Amino acid sequence: MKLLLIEDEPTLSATVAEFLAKEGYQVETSADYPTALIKAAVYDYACIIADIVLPGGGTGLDILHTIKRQRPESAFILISAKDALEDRLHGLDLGADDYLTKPFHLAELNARLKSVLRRRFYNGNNILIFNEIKINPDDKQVWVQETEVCFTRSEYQLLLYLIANRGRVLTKEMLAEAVSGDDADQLDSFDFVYSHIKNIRKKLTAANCPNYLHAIYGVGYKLG
Amino acid sequence: MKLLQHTGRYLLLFAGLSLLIGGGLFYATLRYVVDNEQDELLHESATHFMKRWRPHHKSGLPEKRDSINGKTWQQQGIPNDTIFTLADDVLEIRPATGAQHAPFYRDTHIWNTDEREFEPARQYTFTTADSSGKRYLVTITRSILDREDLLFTILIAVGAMALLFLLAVWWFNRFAARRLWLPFNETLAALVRFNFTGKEALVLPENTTVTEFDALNQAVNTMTRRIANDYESLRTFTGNAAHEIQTPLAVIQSKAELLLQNDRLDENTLSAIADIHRTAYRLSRLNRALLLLHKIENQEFIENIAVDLQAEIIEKLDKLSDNMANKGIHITTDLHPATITMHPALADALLRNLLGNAIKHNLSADGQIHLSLTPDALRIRNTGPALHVPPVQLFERFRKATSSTGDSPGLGLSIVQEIAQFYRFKITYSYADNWHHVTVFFTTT
Repeated sequence: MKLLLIEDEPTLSATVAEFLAKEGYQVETSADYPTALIKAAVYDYACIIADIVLPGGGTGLDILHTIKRQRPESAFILISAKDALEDRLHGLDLGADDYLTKPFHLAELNARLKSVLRRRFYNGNNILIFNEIKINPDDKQVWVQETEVCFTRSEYQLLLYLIANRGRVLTKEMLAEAVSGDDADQLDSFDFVYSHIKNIRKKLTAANCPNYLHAIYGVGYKLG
Repeated sequence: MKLLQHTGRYLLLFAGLSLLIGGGLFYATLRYVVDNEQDELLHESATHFMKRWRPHHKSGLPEKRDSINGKTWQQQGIPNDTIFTLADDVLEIRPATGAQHAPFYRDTHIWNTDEREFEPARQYTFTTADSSGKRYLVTITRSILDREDLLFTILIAVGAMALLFLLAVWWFNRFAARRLWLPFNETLAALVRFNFTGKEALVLPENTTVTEFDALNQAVNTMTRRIANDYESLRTFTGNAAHEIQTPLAVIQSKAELLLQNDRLDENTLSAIADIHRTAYRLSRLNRALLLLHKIENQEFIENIAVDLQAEIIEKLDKLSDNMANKGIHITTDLHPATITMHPALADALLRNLLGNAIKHNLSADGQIHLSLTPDALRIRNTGPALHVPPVQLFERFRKATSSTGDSPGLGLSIVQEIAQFYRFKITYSYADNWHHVTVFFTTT
C-alpha cells in the first residue's frame, strides 16, 4: 500500500518513513508544498499524511482541499504542531480522516492509520483479526474463536491499540494516552494501565486464548 | 494623610512659629523705643526739677512761681514734704543712705488714688548732693498706663493681621496644591490603573508646565514602555521557544520509539531507551502546556461558543475514571446544567487541569473528590495533604504544591488562572480540615 508523507523536518520525516516502511507500506516523502502537490496529484496514494505548516506557499490544508476534489478515495491524516482546534475542525470539515498533534507516538500514528485504511478500503468487511481474536470495531464486540468476551471501554481501546501495534513494544505512556487521549497530559501516574492489562489478560485466558501479552521489563508491553 | 494636609500642617506650624518669634521681637523693639522715649522724658523732667530745687528752703522750691512752658512743680506738703508733683510725674527726694550708685531706670507700680488701683509706672532713680555736700536720693515716677494701652492696641492689630495672613496662606496653599498637583495626581491614577501584564505602555503628557512632573511623567513613560517591551519579548520568546522545541522533541520521541522495536537490543539498553522516550514525552507535555499558556495570553481563543459544561464534565470523569479508580479516589458529584460561553478548547483545558489537579494532589489512600456545578460556579473539593507554599503562590508557574508530584510540571493551576483571567472568572482557593476547595465563579458580579 502506497503512502505519501509530507513533512518538512528531514529527520522526523526519515524516522516516520522508516517506521511506516517497517510496517510494510511503500512510503514516498515530500518536504514542501509544490512538490507535495505534484506528487499527490500524479500518483495514487492509499493515504496522505501531511503536516499543516509547510514551506513553499501552501499548507497541508490546501493540499487536502485540492486532493479531496481530485481523488476523493484517498485517505488523509493531518499533522499539526499547533494543536489549534480551528485547524482540526477545518481539516475534518475538508474531509480529513484523522488529525494528530506533534509530537505523537509512532504507535498512535500506526493505530490511526490502520483504522483509517480499514474504514476506507475494507468497507463491509471491517473485522479485525489477530489469531484467535476477532474484533468488530463497528459494534465494539470481541470474540475469542466463537466466544464473545466483554471488555470495559478502556480495556477495549487498549486491546484495539495493542492489536493494531502487534509485535511492537509499547510503553505505558503510549497505552495511557490511547485510553485517556489528551487528558493523559494531566495524569501524574500511568499505573492504571497495569490493572487494565492484567484484566485483559485474565479475560482472554478465561476464553482459552493463549497469553499474547508480554511485559518488557522497564519498558512496557508487547502483544504477540 | 494627604500631601496637601501635610504641607498645610507644616506651613501652619512654621508660619505660626515665625509669627510668634517675629511678634515677640516686634514687641521688644517697640517697647525698647517707647521706654527710651519715656526715660528721656523722665530725665528731662528730673533736670527741670533740679534746676529749681532749693534744699535749704523750707518748702524745697523757690517761693516765686517759676514755671517753664507753663509747668510748675508742686510740693505735696506735710507730712509729704519730700514729694513734688508736676502733671503725671511724682518726684521724691530723700537724704541718701548707703553707698552712692549710678542712676537707673526701672518699671514699677504706683497707687492711683482716683482709680484706687495700682498702675504700671516708670521710675528714674539717681543721687544728687547740695552745696554742703549732703547727698540725696531722688526718684521720679511717671504712670505709663497710656504706653501699655498703646502697646496692647498695636499688638492686637498686628496679631489680627498675622492671623489674616495665615488664613490667606492656608487657602492659597489649598488652592495652589489642587491646581499645581493635578498632573501628579493624574500620573498617580494612571500608574494605579497600569496593568503590568498588559501590552500597552502608559502615555502621560510631558508638558504639564511643571518641570518635575514632566520629568516624572517622562520617567514613567519610559519605564512602562520598557515593561511592556520586556513583557512582550518574554512572551514572544516563550512562544517561539515552545514552537521550536516541538519538532526536535518529536524527532527524539519517534527515534526512541523506533529503537524500542529493535530486537537485537538487550534489556538494559531497551530500558534506557524507554527512559529517553518517557523523558521526551514529559518534556513535550510541558511544552504543550507552555504553548497553551502562550496562546491564551496571545488571545488566540476568540471564537466562543456555548459550552455545555455538565456534559463536558461527565465526559472528562469517564476518561479519568480509570486513573481515579487506580488511585482509590472516590468521587461524588452534584451537577446541574450550566452553559458557559467560551472557547471549547479552553473549557476542555480548564476542566482537565482542575480535575487533574484534584486527582494528583489527593491522598494516597481513601482520597475523595466532590464536584458541584451550578450555572454560577464550579466547585471542586478534594482531600489532600496541606500545602507547603502560600496559597497565593499556588497559581504561579512551575510552583509545585507538594514535593511528591515530581512528574507534574506545575503549570496546571497557571493555566486555570490564565483561562479565568481571560474570561474574567473569579477563582477562590481555601484549605480546611484536609480538604482543598477550589471554586470558579463564572460571573464576575
